[in-house]
Amino acid sequence: MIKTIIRINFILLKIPETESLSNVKDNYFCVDYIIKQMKTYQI
Amino acid sequence: MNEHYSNNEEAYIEKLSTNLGKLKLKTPWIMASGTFGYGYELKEVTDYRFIGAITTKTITRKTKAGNLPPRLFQINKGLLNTIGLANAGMEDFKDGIFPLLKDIEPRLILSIGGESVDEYLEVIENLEGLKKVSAIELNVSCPNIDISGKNLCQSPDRLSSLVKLARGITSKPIIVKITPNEINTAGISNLCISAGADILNISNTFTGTFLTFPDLKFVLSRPLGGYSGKPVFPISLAKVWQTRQELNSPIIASGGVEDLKSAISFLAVGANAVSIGTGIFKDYGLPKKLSLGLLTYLKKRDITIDKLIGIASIEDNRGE
Repeated sequence: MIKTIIRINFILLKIPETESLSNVKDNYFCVDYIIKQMKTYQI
Repeated sequence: MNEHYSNNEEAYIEKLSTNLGKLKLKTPWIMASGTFGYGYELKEVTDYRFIGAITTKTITRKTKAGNLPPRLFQINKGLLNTIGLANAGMEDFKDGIFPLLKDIEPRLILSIGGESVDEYLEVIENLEGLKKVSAIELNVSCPNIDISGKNLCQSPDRLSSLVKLARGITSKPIIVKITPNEINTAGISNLCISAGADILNISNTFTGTFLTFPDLKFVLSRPLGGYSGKPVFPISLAKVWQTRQELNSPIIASGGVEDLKSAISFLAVGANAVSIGTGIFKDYGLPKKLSLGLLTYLKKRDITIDKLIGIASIEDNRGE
């Protein structure tokens, strides 16, 4: 699920999904936001 | 949230329409280039009825993979990036991506970039026939192309020449996305308007960098990146206000909008529309939330959006 949100954000940025997953701790899509997004949009 | 509006949203949304010169927007919210894909990607999770316009990823002549990773780093509640204009290139955009955008409800703004004036012009000419495109945005301020962070805004003669030449080959409104990294934002803006631009976008990301500790290495693959998000908002707000004091041209305000207060503040200092960039990563529902929040605000103050634009004053703020 968390990967799904990250993937959407990286689709918006047009950079590869693999890149995001190697750097998840340092990127903008921190866990609080991800959980909130998942609940709100039922992703 | 705002249940009052939930059953008759379309009628209420009409109260949010705003004009960028001849370009009428349904709402003042414009999705910023580089943070909203090409524009079709979020149809399943974002309510497009509340978006005034979508700006595409910046399109260049050839396909660009962008800069090497790492190219994102979160610092101080903001985002440092060196994406490097990763995009499909103009031919693939026209043939493969644009068909996906033909039927979207918001207006479409085409962001164009390049490493030379000739490249910008070639892309504009190539894509001029796309009728769904309501305006062209010249991205002359990306800090992630030249490794030293330089861009066309640091070359007034070339910038002026680009805008003049672009004016000669497109009938669509021209937006120029200005850099925030030069002190004289209003001066650069004035130069663009004099050269034939219709609308100003103030502004792009701020040049920034950050080091790891204790080993002191740049966090991105390049020394410099573009910084965006909530921390840049007060500086962006000042730049919009400064520019509005000197120019009457339509202004899109960009920089750090993540909530209703910041969005309304941009309008109050004179912006005609407000760009949503990094904020969408945190909340895919931001355009709707801002729309319903703005409607409530206008109703409470009993003013129209036209009256709100430029309403900020020293007197009104004293004592608060």
